[in-house]
Amino acid sequence: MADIDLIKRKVGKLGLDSFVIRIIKSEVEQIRFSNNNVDLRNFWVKEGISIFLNSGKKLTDISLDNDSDIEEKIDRAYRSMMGGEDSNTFNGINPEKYNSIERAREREKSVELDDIVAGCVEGARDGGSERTTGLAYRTFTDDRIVTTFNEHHVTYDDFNFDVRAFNGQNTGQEGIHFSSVEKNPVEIARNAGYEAGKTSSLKVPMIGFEPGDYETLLSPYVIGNIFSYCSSLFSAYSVEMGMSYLEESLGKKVASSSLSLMDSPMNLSGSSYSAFDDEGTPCFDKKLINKGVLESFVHSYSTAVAAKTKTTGNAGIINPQPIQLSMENGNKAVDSMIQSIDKGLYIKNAWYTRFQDNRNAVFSTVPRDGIFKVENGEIKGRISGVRISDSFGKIINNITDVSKELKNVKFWEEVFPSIMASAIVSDLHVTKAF
Amino acid sequence: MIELMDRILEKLEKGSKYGEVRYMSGEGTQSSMRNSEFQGEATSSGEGIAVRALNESIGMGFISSFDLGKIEEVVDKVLRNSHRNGRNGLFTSGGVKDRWDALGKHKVEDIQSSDRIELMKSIDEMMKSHSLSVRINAIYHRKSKQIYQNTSGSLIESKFSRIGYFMVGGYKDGNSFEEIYRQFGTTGGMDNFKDLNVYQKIEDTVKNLKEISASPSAKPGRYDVVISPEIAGIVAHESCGHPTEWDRISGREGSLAGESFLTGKKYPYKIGSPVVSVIDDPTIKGSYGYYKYDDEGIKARKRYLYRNGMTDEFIHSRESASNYGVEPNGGGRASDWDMEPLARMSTTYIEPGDQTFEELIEDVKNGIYIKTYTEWNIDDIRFNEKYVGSEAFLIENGKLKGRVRKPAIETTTVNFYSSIDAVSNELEFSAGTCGKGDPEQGVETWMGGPSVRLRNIYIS
Repeated sequence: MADIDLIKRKVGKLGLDSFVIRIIKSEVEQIRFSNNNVDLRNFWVKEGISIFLNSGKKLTDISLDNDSDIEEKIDRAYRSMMGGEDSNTFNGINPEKYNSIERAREREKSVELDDIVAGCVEGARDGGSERTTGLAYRTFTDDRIVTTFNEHHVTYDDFNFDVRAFNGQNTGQEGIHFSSVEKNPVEIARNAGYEAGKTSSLKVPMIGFEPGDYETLLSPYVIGNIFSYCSSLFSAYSVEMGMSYLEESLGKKVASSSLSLMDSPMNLSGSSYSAFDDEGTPCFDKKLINKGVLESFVHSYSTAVAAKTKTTGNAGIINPQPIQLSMENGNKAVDSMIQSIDKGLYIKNAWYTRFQDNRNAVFSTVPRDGIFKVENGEIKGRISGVRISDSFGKIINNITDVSKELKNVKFWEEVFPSIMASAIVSDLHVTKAF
Repeated sequence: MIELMDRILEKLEKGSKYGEVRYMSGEGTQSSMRNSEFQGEATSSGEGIAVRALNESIGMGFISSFDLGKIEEVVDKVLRNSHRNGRNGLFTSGGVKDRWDALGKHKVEDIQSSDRIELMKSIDEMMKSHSLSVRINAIYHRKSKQIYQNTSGSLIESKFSRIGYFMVGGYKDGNSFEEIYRQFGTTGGMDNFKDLNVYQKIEDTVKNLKEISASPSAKPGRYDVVISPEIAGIVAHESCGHPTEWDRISGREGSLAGESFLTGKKYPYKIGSPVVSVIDDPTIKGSYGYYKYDDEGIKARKRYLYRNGMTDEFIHSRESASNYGVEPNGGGRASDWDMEPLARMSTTYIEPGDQTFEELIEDVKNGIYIKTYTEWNIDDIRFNEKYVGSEAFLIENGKLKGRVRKPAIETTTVNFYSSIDAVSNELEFSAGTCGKGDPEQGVETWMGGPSVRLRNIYIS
């Protein structure tokens, strides 16, 4: 196993302006299951070593899976860096000294991953599923960072799972992430399985659909998918690059006043809880959109210097990103939001979001796992073969209501671990195949 | 390394019905440039061991440490897991001993940092000369070594390198923004990379962005549509390659990228017009997804996925083949040492025909020619898909006319393939990184085909 002090001594001899050494050791268990049976049990013992070196405007980044020949690899990267080009947009790593963060989270040993899988399958069956597919993870992480200026060490223990229930052609899906602060993981799995099963077995007919603009209730997964794919709009790096339509919008209204969007790395309930960022700046929660007004982009020290502001603790040293998005909840229960729709849609999941214009966030995404037509406040039938084809700016401006329920959602690579609400969006453009 | 692997194999032989051990290492470098500014260079150096054991179920373990005690702990856990409940279908063939390499003549380790930067600079300058305000360029290469062994007597060693290039260009006019993405890739050395002609292809792509952004939309309605090899490639990949991966059809990927419209069908199943066949072939030298043996020690070969409008062969890993009751066909790919092998594509393309591109166009009275694309997506059973054109032209009475902006095809797989009445004699490929599995694995692919003519397609 790599010795961070040895690497520090080696890097220290290079006469650099700054460096970052981070070692993330992890033990990960995974169970994959389909059609109610286990396909595979995976187990990883990994070590990720990342080393960032900087001298003047020169920088390089080294990623290693173990410490074999590490001194030679550092020397090679250093020589290449010193003989290479300047990175003129780089403004250094955060030089501020912080109190060292030392946080060890108790490793949860009482929960068996097999029990979480069983909870998913049994819950889905109880919800009416004919067959259930999914996977579950538990991850123990030991994360240590040493920079020229700071040093921190934390451990995490977290879980996440996906459960998809099938009922003939109909499906329902839930994906939840949580840390070991949650005391009853099996119950969480059972409830999620039940919800997926219930969605798949809801007894309403398949009905026709005409493309158009609809008042639409979007589940936390659909909202999470859209925010995940559009999260780079809030990165100062995207702004610098000319790839965010929000570039001139700080302090301006960019969304409906029903929307408050946060980056919440300190929310302990989620699996993307982070104590510090990639340059050792302690993380903190911040509002990105406050009641419709753009309050902040996310910054590393380098992008903050360029923008004449302060880092938000979101490094990526070069390309800062939100860490754990969350929404402020509203007042209405999801059921009463459905009842408020006269003629519209209820979409419970979406995937495969792709853009025709990344700067203006014009995209389409494909609904799945429960797409319902709502009339007079009731779910009247299922529809299929449809697509949300719209833009981020229009969608967040057209949010008319946000649910009081929040959910820790994560779905494969489609929804980053986040804490999302359901939301009603007016005039959502929905198309279909011909 | 072989000695260490032999010790692991010995343990697997004692504790399982069948076992595998796979060592993989990789050394990679990536440089990037944003709007004429160098963003730095990143190097990666990874290695580790994957172990798989079959008993009452299947267990896999992955470790990056070469501490024998820690490796034994992982192997013990894999063996314990393989005795728990679950499926245990896994094709256990072996006895293959071979070595292969694909390193090219001009080796990646000899590529200088300055060479990479010069290429990016020249492309950045060219993009700037075409008035693009957003210019992102990145070049990367990785040299990999793999040793695969199983308890059935296979030992396969390989060395290969891959080089890739990625660019994004954007033209801004007020609030209007026209963007284009391109990826290029090859397996081999810098000599193979030069054959890709990256500079010229990027210039061909970006030089018209300004004109494209000013072009009018097509009137929504039904048209005959001719698509270029680039669009044919993404169609072949998305609506043929993915739905014919047997682990999708069987439901194993169901909670992730989904299942397949072919699930539960009787095969061969009619997909469309008899003029269309789709092939997946890992053995094309220089292709981005080239390999001689897959990551499960199975020899790669060409496969017809659709033949004359009907399903033909499915893509298999050892696991999916065993569950379907056939022999694996070299589709088991793992993107790195810490990933499980899944049924994957390599180079997927629509088979060319015998007409020229001009002949395809000549026979169109009222149509649209789509040369490049931007947004696309497809549903989780690979049936309902959308392709939005980037560079596109009207066709009137057999002649290409003015540009049209962002014509969108939104249709179904069967309707798409049933609408094809002719394919050209061209064959071109483009590169992509295909995502699948959890943890998601991006594997290198080519996709391509000829130009393809479709009749009476709705354009929005």
